Amino acid sequence: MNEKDLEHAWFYQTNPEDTLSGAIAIEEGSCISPLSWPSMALEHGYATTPDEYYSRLYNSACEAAQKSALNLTQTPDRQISHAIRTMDDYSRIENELTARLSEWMGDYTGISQDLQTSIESIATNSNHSHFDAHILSLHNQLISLSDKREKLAHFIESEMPNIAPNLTQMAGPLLAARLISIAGSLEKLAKKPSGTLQVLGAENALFAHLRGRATSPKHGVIYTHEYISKTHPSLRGNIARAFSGKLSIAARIDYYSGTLNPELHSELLTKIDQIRSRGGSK
Amino acid sequence: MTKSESYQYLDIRGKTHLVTKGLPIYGEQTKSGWRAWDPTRSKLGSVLAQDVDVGLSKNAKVLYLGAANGTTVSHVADVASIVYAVEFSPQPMRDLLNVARSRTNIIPLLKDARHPQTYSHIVESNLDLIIQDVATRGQVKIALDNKKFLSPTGKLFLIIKARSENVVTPPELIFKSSIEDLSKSYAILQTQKLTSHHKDHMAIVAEPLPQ
Repeated sequence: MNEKDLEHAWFYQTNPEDTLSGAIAIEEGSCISPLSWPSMALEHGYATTPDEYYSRLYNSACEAAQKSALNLTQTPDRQISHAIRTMDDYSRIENELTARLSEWMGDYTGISQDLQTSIESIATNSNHSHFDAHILSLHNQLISLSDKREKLAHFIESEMPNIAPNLTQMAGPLLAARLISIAGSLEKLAKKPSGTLQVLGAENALFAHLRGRATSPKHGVIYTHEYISKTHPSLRGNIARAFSGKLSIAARIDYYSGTLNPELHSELLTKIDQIRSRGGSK
Repeated sequence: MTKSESYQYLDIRGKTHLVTKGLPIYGEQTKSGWRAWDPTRSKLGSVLAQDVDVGLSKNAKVLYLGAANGTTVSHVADVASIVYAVEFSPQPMRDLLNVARSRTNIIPLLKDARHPQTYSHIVESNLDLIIQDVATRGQVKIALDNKKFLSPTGKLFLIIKARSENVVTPPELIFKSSIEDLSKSYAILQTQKLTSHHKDHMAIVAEPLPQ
């Protein structure tokens, strides 16, 4: 057995009794070409039988996979992605329940539209019917949901400047978090071309376009930013392109260095002024 | 870790199922230690159900690229002696680790199949079978780069997912060029379109050509 070959083996210099040392070798090692590792391990004295070799490999591999999976998912940008998705879930559920409540209230009190007044009229009415409690409970649930949503928004607003300072300064904390969540991680966002970032969130429109059934989308979720939504429609494509260009630079600075570069934002603002000064066509 | 059984067909509650012997893991139907291999949830299962010989033999040593949640891997592990299960993404890896808990012949590896050097120090050479079901571009290149794990008499079972290569190119063209590129290094034994449960997929069984 060639000593040089053996050096690459995951079990070389690992303690057979120590699962963790094997796990680290599994995680960090590499080799150009595979060899008959099991028989080499027996020769090397790492294990006495093939079953023992595989059992040690199994233990170390499980440990390594579990640890590295956790390392990949336990990052702040992944937690922020969950936070913004939860926030979006809250508002979707809130909308649904609000619609339900106003429908119910309308039928029950005969007062249309003004939820607050009709809720108060139920709450203060001394003639309680057995429906009241359920309607009030639904109303309380809505208040609690919107409270939770606001707390999450505050949390995201306070966390984002640490996670992605440039992206946050430019896009605002919520949009910045949403971009990270759609891309999957800050790393993935940083590695996307700006043209992809420009249409993140408009995947249906993009694929319809690629299949030749539609024009290309001008913007995805970045539309929610006032740089775009408050610009004349005929200029939005231009702004979206400039905006996403700077956003992707911001994401890259955030991922690779993490320090705030205020010039980047002022460059964008100048560019936006330039484009807007052209005025919208009819 | 020798196996006394391979896969076979068995009637369970009036319906014939492809089955392997092992502990059930995803709510599949079972009968006296055998469990049904659901062809709608497993591309390999659906190809086996079409009577294609993919080289999954009793006590084979297998490299599985794109192990995902471990649904198919669990059946392969019921038959094979050892399964090196490579999966790139951390979320499905959590499920795969759960499957590996009841099957100690699964070696879970959180590695990228596009970079075989990152697991060549773990996965042994001279394997009997490579199963590849990876949803990424460059699927043929992965098959070529991983050929070094295969014994000269081993087999490759490759699923080409046309949508992962390119969403706009017609699948037929992708299948054709994939077969051409693969033929440089492998002898194609059989190709098989997958059933309606797995749209725009093609299975290829191949043998390594001597270098």
